[in-house]
Amino acid sequence: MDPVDAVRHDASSLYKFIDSVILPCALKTHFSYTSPSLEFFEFISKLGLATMRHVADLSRELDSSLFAANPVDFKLRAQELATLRYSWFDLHEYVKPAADAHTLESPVALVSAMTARLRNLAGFESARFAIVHTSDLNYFQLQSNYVRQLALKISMIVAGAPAFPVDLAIVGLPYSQSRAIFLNTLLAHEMGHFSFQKKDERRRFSGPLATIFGKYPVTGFSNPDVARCLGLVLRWLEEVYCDLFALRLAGPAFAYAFIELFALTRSRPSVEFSASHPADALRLREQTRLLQTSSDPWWPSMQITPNHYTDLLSETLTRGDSEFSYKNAAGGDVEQVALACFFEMLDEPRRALQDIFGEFDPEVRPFSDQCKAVMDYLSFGVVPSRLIIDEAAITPSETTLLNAAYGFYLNDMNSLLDRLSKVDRDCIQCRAYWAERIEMLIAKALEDVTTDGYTLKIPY
Amino acid sequence: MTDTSESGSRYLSLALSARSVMASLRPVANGAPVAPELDRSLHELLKELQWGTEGSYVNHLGTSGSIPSFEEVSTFVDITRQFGAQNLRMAFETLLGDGATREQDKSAWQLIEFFGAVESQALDQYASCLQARMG
Repeated sequence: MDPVDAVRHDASSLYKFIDSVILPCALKTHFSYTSPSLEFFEFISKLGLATMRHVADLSRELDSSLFAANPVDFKLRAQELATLRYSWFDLHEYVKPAADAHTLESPVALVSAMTARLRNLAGFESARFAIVHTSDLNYFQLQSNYVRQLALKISMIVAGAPAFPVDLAIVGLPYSQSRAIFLNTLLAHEMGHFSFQKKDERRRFSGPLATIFGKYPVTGFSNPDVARCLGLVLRWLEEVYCDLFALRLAGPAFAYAFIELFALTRSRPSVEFSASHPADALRLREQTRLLQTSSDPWWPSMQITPNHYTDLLSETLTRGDSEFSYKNAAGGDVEQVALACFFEMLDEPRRALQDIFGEFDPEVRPFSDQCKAVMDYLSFGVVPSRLIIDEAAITPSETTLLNAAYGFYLNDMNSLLDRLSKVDRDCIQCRAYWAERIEMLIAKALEDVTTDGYTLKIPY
Repeated sequence: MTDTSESGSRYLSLALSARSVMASLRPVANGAPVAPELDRSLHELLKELQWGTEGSYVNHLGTSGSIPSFEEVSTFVDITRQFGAQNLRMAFETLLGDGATREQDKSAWQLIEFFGAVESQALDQYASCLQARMG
């Protein structure tokens, strides 16, 4: 085939592909979306149109005269079609899932509540989150920052490409959990990834890490070995950072959701690190350390509702660093050195988060004072948006509501079930049904405290 | 997403970076001066080429404040081997120096080919990761 014609074919194929990817962004449906989602759709549409124009221009430039004059350059320039196609492969993964996550299929009240709390922090005043669905049940496998990085890189080669909206982030949740409240507390971890990138924490950690790494006798390491080793440490540190970020943002409810997702009360938390994540047992240990030993710890308040989750958290503290290993048994020196460096750097995420959240957590005291009242309301099936404590009316914070409700769900469901006729404590269907109702009550309460009458304070 | 998926993302990111540098080098290959931003990027890459292994490389990473990914480093090492580190160093130095325009043009073309090879290998690796993901 004539090489120029072959390029035209490939260019038109890519053009058609991008057109179909951006189609869900342009379709007008009867669903309603939060404004960050609409912003994301608009961005993708504009990026798609700019890329399509760019592809058409590139195809025109790759003509027979260029091929005759410099076939090597012709081939190199045509290679861009593959780079763009693969880029749109990856963007493809986010567009339809974002379209599926309309307001009826998203935990809007929860995301709104967590966003409201985040926006009180310096530097996050305009943070906002578009939600995408995923078929993967594991929240922790999503690459929340990837879309922004990818869009940035595409805009460097596509003329007229729009800039990714500042402070817009993407968070993903399993499609099946779209209306859940408790498990979706894990979204706070995804918000941590946004913070990690926004605050350029990778750069902050890189200097000290290189210094620590330099102390190890690694004479046999090639440059790729060094990069792999340091890359492992940085990825693990980022995950610990995001866990602790989530705890600071959402309170112990995040730790409860983490345990619930992985059924860690019924299976021994793993002590093996993978290429992307530290061991579950280590992650729980670090969460417990923060809950117990920060300047204003949550732990004493968590004892209002002690449960088998808090027992598990306590147990993880007995784990020493030497009990952890890399999951690949064949892992060699690179993994060993990475683990050693990681443990030396382990206090860095906590220090970085103290710079963002401050030393004291202002949510601990109100939770301690109001937790019992919220639980009492829930035990009567009442939405706890407004509490009467000692004859005074109090509006609880989002964090108090979420954590008190999770505590109730873990420890005090019997008080509700006992009030209901024809419901037995051992009826699992009843328990599951009423647990879902508790999530609905708390979703309503979150909506009440983050909205001003009928108008949402946060543009959702 | 899996580890393979994350690795694939990093290869794609590298391919896009290489493409961006190629786009900046093209005007230089046709006689235009090196733009300040490209000049900075090329100086950084030249430094990478000058580091051997071990200590000096780690010190460089510590002072640069950013640690490149394994995917990035291993691809650069492979392609540098193919082109010859000495040849590349000369191409970078000629382009960044005050040499004759014709020599600079030639060096720019040489580097376009180098970054084209980086992009190509990164795309191959991305495709492998994609296939692994799809099973």
